[in-house]
Amino acid sequence: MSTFLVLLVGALIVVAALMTVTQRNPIHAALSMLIALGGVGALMIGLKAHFLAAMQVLLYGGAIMVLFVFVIMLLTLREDELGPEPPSATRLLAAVGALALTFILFSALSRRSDTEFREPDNDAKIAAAEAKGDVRRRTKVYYGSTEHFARVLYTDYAVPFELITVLVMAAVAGVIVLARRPDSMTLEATKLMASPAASRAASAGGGAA
Amino acid sequence: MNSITTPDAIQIVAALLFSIGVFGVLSRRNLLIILMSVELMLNGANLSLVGFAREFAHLPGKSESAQVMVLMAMAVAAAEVAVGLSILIALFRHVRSVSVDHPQATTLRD
Amino acid sequence: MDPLSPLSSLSYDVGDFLYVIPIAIPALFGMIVLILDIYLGRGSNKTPLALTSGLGCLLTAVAAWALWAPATGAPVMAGTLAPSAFGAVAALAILIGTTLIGFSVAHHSQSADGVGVDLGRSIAHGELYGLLLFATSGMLAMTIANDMVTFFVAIETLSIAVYALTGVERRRARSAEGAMKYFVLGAFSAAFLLYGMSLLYGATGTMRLDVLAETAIKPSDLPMATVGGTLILIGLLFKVGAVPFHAWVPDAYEGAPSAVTGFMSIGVKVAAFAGMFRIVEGLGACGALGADLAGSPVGSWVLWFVAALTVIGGNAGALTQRNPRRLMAYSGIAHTGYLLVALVAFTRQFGHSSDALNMTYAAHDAAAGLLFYLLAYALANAGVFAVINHLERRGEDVDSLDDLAGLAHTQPRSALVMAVCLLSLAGIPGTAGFLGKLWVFRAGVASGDVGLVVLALMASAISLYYYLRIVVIMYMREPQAGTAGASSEDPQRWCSRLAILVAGVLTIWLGVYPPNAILKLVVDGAQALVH
Repeated sequence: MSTFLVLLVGALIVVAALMTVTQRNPIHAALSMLIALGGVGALMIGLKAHFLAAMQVLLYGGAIMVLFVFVIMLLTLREDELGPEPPSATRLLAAVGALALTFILFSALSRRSDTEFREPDNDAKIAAAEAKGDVRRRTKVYYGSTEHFARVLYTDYAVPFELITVLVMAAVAGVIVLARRPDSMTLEATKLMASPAASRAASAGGGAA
Repeated sequence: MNSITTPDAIQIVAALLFSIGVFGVLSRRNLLIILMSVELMLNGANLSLVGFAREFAHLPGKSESAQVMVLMAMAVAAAEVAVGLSILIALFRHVRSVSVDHPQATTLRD
Repeated sequence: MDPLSPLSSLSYDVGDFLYVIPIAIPALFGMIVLILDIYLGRGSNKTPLALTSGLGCLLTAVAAWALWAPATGAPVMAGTLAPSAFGAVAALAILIGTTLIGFSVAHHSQSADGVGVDLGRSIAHGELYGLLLFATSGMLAMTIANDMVTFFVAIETLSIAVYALTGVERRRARSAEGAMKYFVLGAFSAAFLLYGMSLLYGATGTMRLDVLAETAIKPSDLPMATVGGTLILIGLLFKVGAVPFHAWVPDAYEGAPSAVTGFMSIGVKVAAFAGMFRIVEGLGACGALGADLAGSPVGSWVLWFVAALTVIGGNAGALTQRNPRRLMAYSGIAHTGYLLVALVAFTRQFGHSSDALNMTYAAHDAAAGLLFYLLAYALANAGVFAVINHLERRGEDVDSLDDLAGLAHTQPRSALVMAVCLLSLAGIPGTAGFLGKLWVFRAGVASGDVGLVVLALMASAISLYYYLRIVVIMYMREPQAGTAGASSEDPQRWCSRLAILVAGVLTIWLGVYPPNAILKLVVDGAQALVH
C-alpha cells in the first residue's frame, strides 16, 4: 500500500474524527464516527489484517454504531437536554493538552529507525509445519487470515479468550441491572420514599416492635 | 513528505486519532460524544497495533499477539459501550439530560 | 500424541490448565448465583446467595494457595499466565474483600419488619453477587497475568463489572451519577492503557512481560517504549486513584452503595497494585524507565512525586469529610500513596548505581511489604465497610458520621471491630496495618527515599485525627433516635455479624502474631517478583 494512499485515507479519518468531537448534534457525530471507523477498517485491509478488518466493520460498524444510533433515537433529545457546552477556555485548554500529547507521541515516533513492511513469513511457516508432519497445518497459513488467527486465538490465547466470556457475562448482567426500570412500588412504599424522615420513623418503630 | 514511510504514516494517523479522541473527552460535556471520543481513542490504539503487527509480520511468532489484542479490544469496546449507554439511560431517567455536569438531581422520575 | 487430536496443536502442556482453576471458580460461581437467584424469587431472604459466593471464594482461596503458591513465577499457558506466591497473596486479599463484603450485605433484602419486599433500596441482589464474583475472576487473572493481552482483558473484566455495580442502586440519582463519573474516567484510562501497550509492543515486539524484561530495546525505539510505559502507568494510576488522577474517587465512592464501595476500595486497588508491580518489573528491566545522572531511574522520581502528592492529597481531603463513604474514599487515596512508596522503593533496583545489591534487598522488602500491606488493608477496609453495611438498611442509611453516634452503647461488638479496623488503617501498633506500614516504610528507607518516608509518616500521624474522630463519635456520644447508631442488634443479621467478627479477629491476629504460613507466602511472593 502506498504511503500516499495511507495519508489520503488518514486525512479522511482525521477530518471525520474532528467532526465527531465537534458536532453538537449526536446523530451527526455518530455518522461522522462511522466514516472514521470505516477508514480505519480500510487501512486494516491495506495492512493485510483481513480478519480484523472484517471484525472492524462487523463490530464497530454493526454492533457499536447501531447501539449508539439506537440510544440516540430512544432518547429523542431536545436541545435543552443536550446540556450546556463548556466555556471556550476549557476547550482551549483541552486543545492545548491534546496538541501537547500529539507532540510527545510524534517526537517519540519520529525517533524510530528501520521501519519497513516486509513480506510475511507465510512460506517459512508452511514449510516448518510440513517438516513436522503436522497434517493440520499443511493448509496454507496466510498472514492475517481467519485460519491463521484462529489457531493462535484458541490455543495460545485460550485464557484471555475465556476471560472475554466472563467479561461479556458481566456486561450482560450489568446492563440488566442498570437499564431495567425501577420496580413498581406500592402506595405505602411510595410515601416512605417521598420523605426520609417518615421512613426513618417507620423503621425505628419497626425495630422497636 | 518523501521521508515518511508507510509504517510511519499509519502510526501518525493512529496518534492523531488518539489525540483527537483525548480532545473530545476533555472538551465536551455530552456523555454520548464523550463515549464516541473514547471509541476514537480505542480505534487509534487498534490501528497502531495493527500497524506494528504488520511491521513484525516477517518474524515468526511476533505479530499474532498484537492481532489477538486488537480483537480483544474490539470485544471490550463493544461491552464497554453497552454498559456506558445503559448508565447513560439510567442517569437520563433521573436528570433528563445527557450532560456530565448538571445541577444536582435528587428526585426520581417515573 | 495423535496428530489429529485437538490437543496436539497446543504449544504448552495440558497440565497448565490447572493454573486457570482459581480464575475459573469465581466465574462459575457467579453464574450459579445468578441462576440460584431466579429460584429464590424476589424479596426473599438472600442469605443463600451470600453463602454460595462465600463457598466459591473459599474454594478459590484453597485452589490459589494449593496451585499458585508453590509455582515459581515461570510462564505457563504459552506465556499468558505466570502463577506465583505473589499472585496467591494478592488473590487472598481480593477474596477476603469479596467474601466479607458479600456476607455483610446478606440481610439487605429483608425489610425492617421482616416481611415484604425492601423497596427503599432496591439493590438487585442476585446480580450484585454475580457481578462481585465476575469482577473477582478478572482481578485474580490480573494478579498472575504475564501477557499484556491477558492483563488488558482482566482489568476490563473487573472494570466493567464494577461500573455496573456502582450504578446498582437505581433509585438514587447519586448512584447513577457516580457510575457515570467512574465509567467515563475508567474508559478514558482504558484507552490510555491500550495505546501504551501498543507503543510498548511496537518498541519491543512482544506482549509478554517476561520476554519484555529480557529485551534490549534499540536506542532509537527507547522514547517510544518510555511513552508507552508512561501511558500504561497513567492508566493504572487512574484505577488506584492516585493524585492527580483521583477526581472520580470521592464521587464514585459516595454514589455507590456501601457494599460496592467496600468492594471497590479493596478488590480494584489490590488487583491494580499487583498488576502495576508486575508491569513495572517488565518496564524497569528493559530500561524503559530511563536513568538519571546518578544512575537512578527517572521513572522512580516521577513516581516519587505522584506518591508524595497522593499521600498529601488523600490525607488533606479526608480531614473535612462528614460522609463516611467520602471519608473512606480519601482514606483510600492516602493508602494508595503509602503503597506507592513501596512502588518507588521497588523501582530503584532498575538503576545502575553503585549499591545495586542493597537496592535489590530494598526491592524485595518493597514487594513483601506491599503484599502484607494489601492483606492488612483488605481486612481493615472490609471490617469498616462490613460494619457500615451491617448497620445500613431501609431508613437506616449511614450517610453522615453522626449516624454512628453512640454505636458503642447499642452494638458494642460492631463498634469495637470498627475501632480496631480504623486503628489498623491509621497504623497503630498491635494491628495488621502497623506491620504493613513498618514493612513498606523500611523498604523506602533502604532504597534511600527517606524524605518520602518521613512525609508519609507525618501524613499518617495526621490521619490518626480523622480515624480517631469516628471512634470518639461512636464511644463518647449518645445515640440519636432514628439513626443507624441507635438501632439494636437484629438476630437476622448473623451473616454480617460473622463478617465483622472475622475482619476484627484477623486484623488483630495478623498484627500481634502473624502466622508463619502467611509470612512465608509473602516472602515467597516477593522472591518470585525480585530475583
